[in-house]
Amino acid sequence: MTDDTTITPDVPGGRVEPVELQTEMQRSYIDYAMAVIVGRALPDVRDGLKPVHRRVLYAMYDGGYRPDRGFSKCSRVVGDVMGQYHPHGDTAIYDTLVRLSQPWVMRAPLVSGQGNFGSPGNDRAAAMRYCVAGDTLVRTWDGGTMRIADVVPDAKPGSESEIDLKVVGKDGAPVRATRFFHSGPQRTLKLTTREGHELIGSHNHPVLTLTSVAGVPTLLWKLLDELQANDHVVMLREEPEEWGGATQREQQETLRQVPATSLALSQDHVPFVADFLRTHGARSERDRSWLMKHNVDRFERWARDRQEILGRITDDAAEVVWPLVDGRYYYATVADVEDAGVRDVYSLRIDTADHAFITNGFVSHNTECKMAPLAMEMVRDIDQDTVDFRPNYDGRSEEPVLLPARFPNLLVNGSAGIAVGMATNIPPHNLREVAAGVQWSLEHPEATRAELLEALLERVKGPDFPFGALIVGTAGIEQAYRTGRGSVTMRAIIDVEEDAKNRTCLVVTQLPYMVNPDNLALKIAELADSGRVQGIADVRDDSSSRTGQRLVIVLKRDAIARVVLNNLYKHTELQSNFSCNMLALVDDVPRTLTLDQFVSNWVAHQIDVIQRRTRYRLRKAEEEAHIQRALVKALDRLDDVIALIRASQTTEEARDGLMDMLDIDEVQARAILDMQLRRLAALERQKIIDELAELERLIADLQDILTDEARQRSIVSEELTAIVDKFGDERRSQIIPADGDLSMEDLIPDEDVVVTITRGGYAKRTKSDLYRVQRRGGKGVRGAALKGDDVVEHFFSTTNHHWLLFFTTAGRVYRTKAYHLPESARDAKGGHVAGLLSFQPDEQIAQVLAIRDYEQAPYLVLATRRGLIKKTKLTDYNSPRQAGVIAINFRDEQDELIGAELVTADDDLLLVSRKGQSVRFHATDEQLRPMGRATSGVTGMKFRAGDELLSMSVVRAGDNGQDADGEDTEPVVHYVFTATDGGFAKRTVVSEYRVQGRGGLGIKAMKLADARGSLVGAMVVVDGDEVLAVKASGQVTRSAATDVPAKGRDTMGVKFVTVDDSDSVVAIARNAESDVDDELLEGDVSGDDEGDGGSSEVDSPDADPKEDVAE
Amino acid sequence: MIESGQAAGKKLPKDNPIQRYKGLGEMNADELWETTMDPDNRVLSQVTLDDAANADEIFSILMGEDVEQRRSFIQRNAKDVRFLDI
Repeated sequence: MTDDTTITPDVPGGRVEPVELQTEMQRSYIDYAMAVIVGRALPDVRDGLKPVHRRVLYAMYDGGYRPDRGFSKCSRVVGDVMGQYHPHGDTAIYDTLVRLSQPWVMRAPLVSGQGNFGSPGNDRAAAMRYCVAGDTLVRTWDGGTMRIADVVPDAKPGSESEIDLKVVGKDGAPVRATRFFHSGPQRTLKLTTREGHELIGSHNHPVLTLTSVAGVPTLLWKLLDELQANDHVVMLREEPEEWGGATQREQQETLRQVPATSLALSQDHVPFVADFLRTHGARSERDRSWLMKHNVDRFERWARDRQEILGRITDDAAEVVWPLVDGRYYYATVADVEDAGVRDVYSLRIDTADHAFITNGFVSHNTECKMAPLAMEMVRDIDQDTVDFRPNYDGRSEEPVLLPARFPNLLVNGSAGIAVGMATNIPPHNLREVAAGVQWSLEHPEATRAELLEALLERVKGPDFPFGALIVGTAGIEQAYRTGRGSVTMRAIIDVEEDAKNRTCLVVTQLPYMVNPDNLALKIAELADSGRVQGIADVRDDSSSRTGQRLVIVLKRDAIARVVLNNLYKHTELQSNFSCNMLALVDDVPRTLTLDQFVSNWVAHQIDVIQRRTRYRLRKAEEEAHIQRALVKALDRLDDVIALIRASQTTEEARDGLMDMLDIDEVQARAILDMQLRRLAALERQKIIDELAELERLIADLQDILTDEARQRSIVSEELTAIVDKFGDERRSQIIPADGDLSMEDLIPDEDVVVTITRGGYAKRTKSDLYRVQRRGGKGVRGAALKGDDVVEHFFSTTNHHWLLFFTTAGRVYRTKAYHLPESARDAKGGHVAGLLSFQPDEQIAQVLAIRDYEQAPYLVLATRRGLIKKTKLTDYNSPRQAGVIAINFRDEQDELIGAELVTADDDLLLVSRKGQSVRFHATDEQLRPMGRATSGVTGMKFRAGDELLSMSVVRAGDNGQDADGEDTEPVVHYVFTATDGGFAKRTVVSEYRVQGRGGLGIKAMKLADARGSLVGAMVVVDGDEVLAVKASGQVTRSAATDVPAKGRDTMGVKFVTVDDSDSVVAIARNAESDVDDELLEGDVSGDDEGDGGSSEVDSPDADPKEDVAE
Repeated sequence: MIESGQAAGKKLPKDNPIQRYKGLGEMNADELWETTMDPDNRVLSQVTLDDAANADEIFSILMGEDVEQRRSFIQRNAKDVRFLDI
């Protein structure tokens, strides 16, 4: 700059204008800032597009890259956009195009892409233009090969040509090549494999590779410049007549050596497969050792022993591996990738989803695009003068100032942009919800802004992200909608599963918006390695196009799932915030807008579009009517007209004559002269008159629309409805209340629900009404699609606001409100309780109780396998501790909790042992002294050697079942139902079990013989109850309790379930059909349990706790 | 500009009716001479510094940490934009 000041005075004629630094800075800065704000980074509130988006969409529309046509090469679209409308770099345009097509970015993608458009992780879209050198051989379907440059011999650099050629695609099947591209000279790379195959292509030319992604062998596209030595590239196993390049002969030789289906052992194997199968694929340990011993990555092994291998690996593993080992592909190892200089390069367009074809044996592909169907709604009616156009940058053509945008694109797809001094971040929304809000607005044009905002808040529940995930809390959403700024908390959807080794896994299936799964996995691994988050054994990404997002976090055995989860939420993007900054351009001025302003601006735009379109149509109709009127006039005086024309020397003379004669203008006269003779036929004449009448009607209608704003609104409404019907879809992001949100319970209706918990720990709640319909209608229909040998263990009816108390085998109790359980369909598995409760490792659910509050019953009684029994005030358990509280202290580590019941001091307890002894005693304070929570209890029953407590039941006061129960006329007789593993059962009136003192050996509950097995269950039933018997084989038998005769206490019972020699009854449960029908049944814990293997805990359902407790 | 020119009966030249440059590097040497270097036509701006304190203040508004200040500056001065390049 100093040069300027010294030089300029010497040069004659030069003008020097002094400018103050501060002024210049201000001016230049404003120019720059406004250019970025208006011209680049911020969307227009009406069509929701930034200029580059608008130009891409309009160029695609204008250039004919429409949904009803074939795909076009992206580079061609980019060229159109750049050449005609957007004088900026091609990468910026291509990135825009790619973004518009990515379904994890756009809630409603506006571009359909074909080929590799990247992934939510670190995989970028493939480059728009990549090609191979001219000598590359393309494998054609007729069995030959041809040099790619010879496909269209005279092609000029930078040109493309239509072709129709059948070539070999990725799977070896024929695919059609429809276009040939000569891309001119490009920098190229040469790929050489150890086996001697080679391929020369542009540095961004992708080839198919086999890569180990977290241990899983995966077919991935890699660019030539991403390839490294020792990578495995996929080649189609075939024997061509010739291969390209100087080493043609050697390559031919090499390929000959590749065994097609050789049975000899060779080095011809699939990389990574053996490790994968041995680590992840084995069905059992035995299978694993078999897999370790055999070469399961050899083609010949697969050819010979396919059934054997498939029998030893899991179905999931088979699905991964089978496409790799069926012998189609040969996996070559990269020896080198080196610079091959600048060469002319060529490419083909292939009409298949992955756009792949075979070059020199390597699998190659390309990216293409066209408008998505919905994008047509963005430009619909644009040719009917609905929006303004302005000259493009070089004045050669025109571009729209904005698009008609016939659906509220800005809210549906959102927007993100950083301008200068301001930025925008608008989340995507659900089209149906936004449209519902718009419809309200159209129906209530007189509504105030506040009214509109309230109506919208009711209809637009919140953002709706393309890949779902959870939105936690509604306060941020409401703030964003009311003020234009607010923070929305998003949380990943994480399932708790168990893997083959019974380790607990957190499986991330849906990520918060724009969270990069690859970086997330790295971050989690880093946190685990550095010890900042404890309890993680392994992190692996099982995502694939087949399974979708699936990041698996394997926990250590001593880890508490919920604690790990909370830490991950805290330290990683598994929970992250979307900071809404609802800034958009209104009349080219950036404004932070509230939700109602988005809607009202869009509606105003639509009214404008409809008005302009109607005016345009009116103008066209009037022009046409103008001519038709002249034709009608001419037909009225047909003979005069014909005479006049015949008499005229020239056309001009005829025209002037007509104008005089018919009193018409020049346009009309010319139309008459242009009329074809056939239109003079009588029928045609009538047609003209009819057409005119139709036009007049149309004109009247259009004029009516223009004067009637209500009609304009209803047109907007109808057309939007049509779009929503066609393109609307369900909400994907579920909105859940925030933790600790006090108003949460107010928001959740206290509905009746049926809670199901499986032995494996999967819990869910289902609306009772759904369940009842199912139960009445479909006897025996499988309730839940359970994993493996899991069975439903707890099943009861309660309401959303009830506390659920989970007693674990370790003697602790955890609680949660019923509404925290995932609400699922009848046939769904539900979620794992480990994700809900902070269970210690190896802790399992022993008992579940549902209580309305801690005042519901005075006492809670717990019973253990060793016969200890403990009565504690229910209120003692009222603790908000997340980590659970001690429910009982076991004296003996081997002891386990087998029952938990609510009692009053008036009830009796009935303990039954596995060997058929029973004790019934009063639950009064004298008999059973109330104790504190963290105590071990007192002896409830003593056992002979080898015996243990099987069940505890409550005999409610007044349920004695005695016929002579005097004035307390209880018509229902209660029985004790007992069953053995041999399938024998009986029931005995409760009163036969006389009340004894606590702590004795008790009296016989059932006469047992070896042949009939030991007891598996004892419970209190009434007439009308059903009994479910669960066999070891998994079969469940349902029978009425009354099917079993009422007998004396010390009797053998009768056969009620038939069991084979190998099978046995493992548990019985009362099917509380009648109870579910009763309103608001509470605390009906019907459980059943496994009796084999000596680890049994059988709880018996109490009779009807509600009746006693609530009344 | 095009409209007013065409209204006045002028026509754009056939080759390169409107040429647009994103930087000086896109020009041919003679074009650079014509538009930028020719002393007869060019205008040089000589930047002067009258008040260092004021200049410092404007620099910190425009390029400093305080986004709100920048935002309000833009909003205050948006109407003074000379040439809007979209």
